[in-house]
Amino acid sequence: MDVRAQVSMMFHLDKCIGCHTCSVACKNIWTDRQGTEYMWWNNVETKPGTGYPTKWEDQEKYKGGWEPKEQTIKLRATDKFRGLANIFHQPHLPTIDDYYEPWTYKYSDLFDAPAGDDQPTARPISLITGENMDINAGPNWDDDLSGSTVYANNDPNLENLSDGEKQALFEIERLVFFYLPRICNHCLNPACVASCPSGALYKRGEDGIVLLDQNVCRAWRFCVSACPYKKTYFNWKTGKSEKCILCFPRLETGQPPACFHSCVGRIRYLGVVLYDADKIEEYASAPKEDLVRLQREMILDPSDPEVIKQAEKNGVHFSVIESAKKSPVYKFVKEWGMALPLHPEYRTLPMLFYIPPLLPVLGHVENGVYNVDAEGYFGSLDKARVPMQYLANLFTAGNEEQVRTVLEKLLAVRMYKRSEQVDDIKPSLVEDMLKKTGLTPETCEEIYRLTSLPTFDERFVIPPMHREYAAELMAGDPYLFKAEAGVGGFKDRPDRGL
Amino acid sequence: MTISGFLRFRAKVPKMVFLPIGSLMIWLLCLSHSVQASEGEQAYQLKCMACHTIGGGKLVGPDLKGVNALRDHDWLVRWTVAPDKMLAEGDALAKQLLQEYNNIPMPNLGVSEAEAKSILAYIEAKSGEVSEPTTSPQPVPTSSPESGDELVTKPTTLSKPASAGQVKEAPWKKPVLTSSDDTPNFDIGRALYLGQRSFTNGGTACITCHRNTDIGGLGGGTLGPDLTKVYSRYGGNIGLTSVLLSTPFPTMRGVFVKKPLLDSEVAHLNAYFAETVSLEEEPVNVVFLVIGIGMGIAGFIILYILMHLIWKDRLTDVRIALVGR
Repeated sequence: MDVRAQVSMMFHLDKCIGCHTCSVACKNIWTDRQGTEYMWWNNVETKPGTGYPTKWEDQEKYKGGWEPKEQTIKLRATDKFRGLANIFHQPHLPTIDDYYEPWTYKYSDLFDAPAGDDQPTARPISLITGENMDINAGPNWDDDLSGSTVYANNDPNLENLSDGEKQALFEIERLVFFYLPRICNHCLNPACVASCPSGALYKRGEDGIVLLDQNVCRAWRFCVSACPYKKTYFNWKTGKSEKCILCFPRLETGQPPACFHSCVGRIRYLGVVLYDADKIEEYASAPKEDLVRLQREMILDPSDPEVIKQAEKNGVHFSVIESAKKSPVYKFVKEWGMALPLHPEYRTLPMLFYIPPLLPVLGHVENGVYNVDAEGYFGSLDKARVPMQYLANLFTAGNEEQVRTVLEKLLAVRMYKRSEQVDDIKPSLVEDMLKKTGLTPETCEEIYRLTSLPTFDERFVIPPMHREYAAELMAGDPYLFKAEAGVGGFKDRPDRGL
Repeated sequence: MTISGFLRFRAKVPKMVFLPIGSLMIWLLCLSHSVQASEGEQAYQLKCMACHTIGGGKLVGPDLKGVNALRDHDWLVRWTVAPDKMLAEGDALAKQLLQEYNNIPMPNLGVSEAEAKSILAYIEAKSGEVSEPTTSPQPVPTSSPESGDELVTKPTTLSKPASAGQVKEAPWKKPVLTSSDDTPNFDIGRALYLGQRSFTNGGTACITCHRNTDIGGLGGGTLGPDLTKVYSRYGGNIGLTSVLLSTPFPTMRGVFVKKPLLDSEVAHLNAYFAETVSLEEEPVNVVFLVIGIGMGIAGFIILYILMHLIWKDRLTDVRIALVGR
């Protein structure tokens, strides 16, 4: 057992209101420089929709992630030979058009225009060329465009849906959408790290954050192709790739990442989990339908004495183990089995988990009145507007049963609380539901509290980062560097670039 | 983005139109510029200037300042149009001139009668003006052994202007002679012609603009005349030397005025051209040209198709394909 710590994340999609505050917070802190305008380390997508970059989930085109090969897995985009053969002209790179051409407006025209009969307008200007441009796309271009024949219809997750289900999604009375905020998943088996010919990407040992060394990066851009979530980006100004750093400078000072901190719906949870690194290859190579279950198995119980012993042997500080015991992510993912990884079939073992949205059931018109079924307000899941298969394509590699289990748990908690507070649901029905999902009234109460009433410190259980140990490990005595710039980091700006 | 994608979605009409219109305008501008120079001046610069000056002293041929007054007009026109014929007919004046100028006959340059008149008009006008010094450097006689007795006995002292009082001596920088390779050599001359050996002052190799049957194949550029028989055309060593050192043609002058050839280089080239005289001038081999260009285009197409085959599963436009624009 090779026990390691990972700062892991959980997004509760039922609470997301799609306000993009997270994206703006991230942009203001990290990607407001020239060359990064088009990057959104954090972005929010409407589902069904094509997302950002357009149709990023279509790996037939983008070639991201891993695919099984014999007993193990290999990268879809590259290998040693193909990497070398295509190193100067990488064939799977998205163009700026597939992201979008970033723009601003010529605001000065509003003030400098000579007096005239017409209102002056601020024309859009490309942030790349500086010329006037027509805006054809944006990072959230398909926001709320459910039912659109261009965007929703081309969602790769509609695969395996019956024609009836597909058509239903585009009927005006049955339209449905939800939001999917995305950041780097800080995967356990990151394809970006595996693909880099320069070895610029690495997974930080103490907390599992995937980082990109700006001094080592040589702009081969294989990480851009290999990441199935398209969460590494190429900065055309510096000639280096960049990605979400999970705001590690904030984490190291005990603050949650900016997107977590600013989240209006409080949908985001962060905490450390312990996992068994010995199992990575075996579990990542498993059959598609087992991936979610095995990944959950890989996460270890921080209260298990054997796990604690192995963790301490591996140099995981006891304060981190203590923090793991309180981790909300551990509870949602492992203890309650309610959070699912996004697209586990890419086999990168993403460590960002989602609670799928419990979407409303279909209404019907009776005597001119729009009704939802009275007796099952939370209704039968089969009457939900979004087909189960769609959610399964997103979160469980097509395994409907696993999504259904999660949704039933969500439903059970709601019914339990409603019977308790409104008292209009038969107790027998609640009992049946609890029995079916394996939840107890106590866990229901706990899930309810952590979902609806969590405090700041309950949502973000940030482990002590212990940079002092890391610094000692890497650079020896930190006092040697006293009064110098930084500890072991780089002191100069990266050499290359424009 | 693929080329086809670019053409389909990105190439904007103004840009596509601007390119041909812009190049047309530039072409017209060049045209109008060349029209400004008078016809006579142009013909003079093209055909006479290599061997003659107007008030600049003798070169291969005589100084033409005041020639209109000196000779009968009709005779001058005839002489300019067909000097070879007049020599063959045994015109007395022609024979006398031939003797006077080292037996270098004036070649027939294909001047029409109208052209000849305009040239003479130009010379007359030019003679009336206060003479300007020639801009081209005046060649000094080479001392190479091949120049033979002629040169030693009758040196073409070119530096003395006809009317010394009026004409300023042209600024003449004596070229630095290279110590080695002084003996005129066919191979070195050929190498210089081909550009395998570069000119000391950085001048352009002859093959860039001139053809020579000796080279074969496409044989060189077609901007300037064929040089296979240039040696005889300029009456051998002396004529050619003077031309190569002064490079009086407008096109060549622009190229060589700041990068003049050295005496030794001229001697090598003379040695080379002296040999190629025996060959026949050949027109540009059109078949060869068409095959060459055709192979280039075919190669491009083959590589383009090959590229698309090798990288057929590469990432092509996703968003544009989706929204059609």
